Amino acid sequence: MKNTFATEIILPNEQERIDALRRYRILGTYAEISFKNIAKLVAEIFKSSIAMISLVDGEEVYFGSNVGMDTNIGPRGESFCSLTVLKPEVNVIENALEDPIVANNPLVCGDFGLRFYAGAPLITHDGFLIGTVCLVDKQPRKFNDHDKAILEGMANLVMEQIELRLQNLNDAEQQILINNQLAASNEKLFASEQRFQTILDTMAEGVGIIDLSGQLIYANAMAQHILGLTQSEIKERTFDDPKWKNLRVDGSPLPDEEHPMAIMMRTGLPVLDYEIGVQPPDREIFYISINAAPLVDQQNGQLTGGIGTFMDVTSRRRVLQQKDEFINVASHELRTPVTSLKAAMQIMGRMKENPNPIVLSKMIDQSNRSLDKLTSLITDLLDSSRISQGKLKLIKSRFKLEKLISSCCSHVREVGKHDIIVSGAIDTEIEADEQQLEQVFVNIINNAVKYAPDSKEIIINVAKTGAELKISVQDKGPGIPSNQLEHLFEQYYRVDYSGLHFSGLGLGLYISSEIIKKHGGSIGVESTVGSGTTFWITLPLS
Amino acid sequence: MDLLNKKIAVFDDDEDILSICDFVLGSSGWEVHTFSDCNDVIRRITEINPAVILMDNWIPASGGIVATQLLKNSAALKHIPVIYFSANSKISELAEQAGADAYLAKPFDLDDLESIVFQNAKNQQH
Repeated sequence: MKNTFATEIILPNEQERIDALRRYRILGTYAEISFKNIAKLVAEIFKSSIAMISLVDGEEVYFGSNVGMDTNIGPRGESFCSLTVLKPEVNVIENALEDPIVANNPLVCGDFGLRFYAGAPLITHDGFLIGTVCLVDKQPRKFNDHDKAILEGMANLVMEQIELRLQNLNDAEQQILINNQLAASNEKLFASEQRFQTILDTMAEGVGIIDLSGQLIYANAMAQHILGLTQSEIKERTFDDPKWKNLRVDGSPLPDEEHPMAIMMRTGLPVLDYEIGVQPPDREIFYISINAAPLVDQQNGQLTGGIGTFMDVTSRRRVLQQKDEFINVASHELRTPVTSLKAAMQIMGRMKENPNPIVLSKMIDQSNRSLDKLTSLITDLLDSSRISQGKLKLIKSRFKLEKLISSCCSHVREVGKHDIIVSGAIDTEIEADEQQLEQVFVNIINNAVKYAPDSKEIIINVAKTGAELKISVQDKGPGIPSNQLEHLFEQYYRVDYSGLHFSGLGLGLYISSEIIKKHGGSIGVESTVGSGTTFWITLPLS
Repeated sequence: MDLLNKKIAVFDDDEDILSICDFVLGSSGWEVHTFSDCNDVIRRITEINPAVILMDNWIPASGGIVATQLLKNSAALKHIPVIYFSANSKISELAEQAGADAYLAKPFDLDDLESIVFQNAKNQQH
C-alpha cells in the first residue's frame, strides 16, 4: 500500500482494528449505502457538496453512503479518512495546502483539488476506530468546536446504527439456530414416538391406558386383537363396562371393585398377574392375565390414570386345567385295579391256612387281571411322558398289513359283540415299527368298542393311493361333536360325556398320533353326531 | 349283637369289586345284592329294603351323586345309610355333595369294609 501522507497511518493494533471492522459484516452490503441519508444530512448542515460515511479496511476505504463522489471506494494510502482513524477525535484540516502531512496527497495535488476535510471517527464500543463520518470541500473552510460536536454526534449516530444492525443480525442468526435445534428436536421426538408406537403395536401383550374416570384413552393393536374390538369401539368403554362381561376365573361374575384396574386406582399400587375371564357375546370365553400400574404425575405425585398390560392366557389355563384333570383321572384309574388286587390278596391272606381252591383260583385270576391292567396303564403313562419329551424310537421291519390287523382284532372278535369287517388292499407290505403300530390300531379299535358299544359293525378299510397307504376304522356309533374333534389328539384331552365315565387315561390318541407322525404319516378323524365316526391314518409307502 | 336286617345293596361298575363284596360280606352273613349300574335305584331299593347301601361315585348312567341324592330325597328310603365308595382323591367332598352318610376310599382294607358296613347298619337300627 502506498502511503501518500507524511505520517505513519498504520497503528500497532491494525489487525485487531480490521477484525473489529469485519465483525460488523457490513462491507460490501446494502447496509453500507443505507447511511446515505446521514451523509445527505451532513452535507446539508455544513453546506458542503461532498459528505460521506467511510469504512477504513486494510487496503481500501469504502464510502458507499456518500453524496458528491463519483466512486465508492478509494486506496487506503490516499484517503484522508485513514488519518481520522488514528485518533479518537475529530480530524480537521482547514486548508490542505498548509498542512505538511497531506501536502503531497494526490487528492490535494491533483484534479480533485481537495482543500478542506473534517471527519469524526466511528468508534466501536470496544474502542476501535473503524471508519468516519466526514465532509470535504474544494475550498478552505473554518470548522469550529460546535461544528466538531455536530460531526461527532453524527458519528455516534452511525456507530449506534451499525452496532444495532449487528445485534439484529446476531439475533436473527440465533433465531435460525434455535429453529434448527427445535426442528432437530422435533424430529428426534417424532422418531422416538414412532419407535414407541412400533413397539406398542408389535408387542405380544395388549396395552390399555385409562384416565382417572376409568375411560380407555388408548389401546394398542394387540389389545384390540385380544378383545376383538377396534380402537374406536374400545375407546367408547370404561374398563369395567358391563359390555365386557368380566368374570372371575371360577366363572362367577367379577364385581367392579375386584377388577385389577380398580384395585390399582384405589390403592395407587401396581397389581400383577391377576387373571380374569371375559365372556364376549359371540365366541368362547377367554382368560387374560392383567398387570395394572398407576400413572403418576412426576411433579405432584398425584394419580393421573392407569396402564394395564395383559396377555391371553386361555390356552395356558386350559393346559393347566387339563393336566390337573388328567392327574385326577390318572390317580383314579390307577387306584381301581389296585383295589381289586389288594382285596384279592387280602382274601387269599385270610384263607392261607385253609384255602378254598375255587375261591383261590378266582382270586389269583383276578389278581393277574388287575396287575395286567395296572401295567398297561403305567406303560401308557410312561409312553406319553417319553413321547412328550421327544424320546420315541421306532424299530422298523417289513411285514404284511393283514397280519397286523388280524392280531389287533382278535380280542374283539373273541368277545363277539362286534363284527369287524376288513376290506381293501390288506395284503400290502409295509415297513414300520410293528409293535407300535399294533398299539395304534388296538387303541383305535378299542375306542370304537368303548365309545360305540351299540355299533354292531366296525369297518376297517385299506386304500393305496400312489405313495401312501390310508387305513380307516369306521363305527356307526353316536359320533363326536365337531367342537371336540380338533382337540382329540391333544395330550390330556378326553371327550366329555358328562355323567358317563369311561375308564382309561385318555392318552391313547395322543400316543397314537405321535407314533404315526414319527413314521412320517398322518392321523385324523371325521365324525357326524348321530351317524358315526371314522378314524384314519396314512403311512408313506417306501 | 346281631343285626335284624342283614341285607346290603352294592352299586359299582367294576365287576371285580362286586364279586369281592359279594364274597367277603356274604361270608359274614350278609345277603348281598349287586348292581353294575344305578338305573331304577328307587325301585330296586324299595324292593330289597337293605339295611345299608354301598354306592360307587362313577357308575353309569347318572353317577353316584345323583343316585344318592335321589335316595336321600325319598321320604321312604332316606333313612337307609349310604356309604360312598371311590378311588377319587376328593372323596369326602363328593360324599358330602351326594348327601351320603359315610365314605370308604378305594383301595380299602377288607376289615374296614366289613366294619363300616356293620356300624352304619347298626346305628340305623337303633
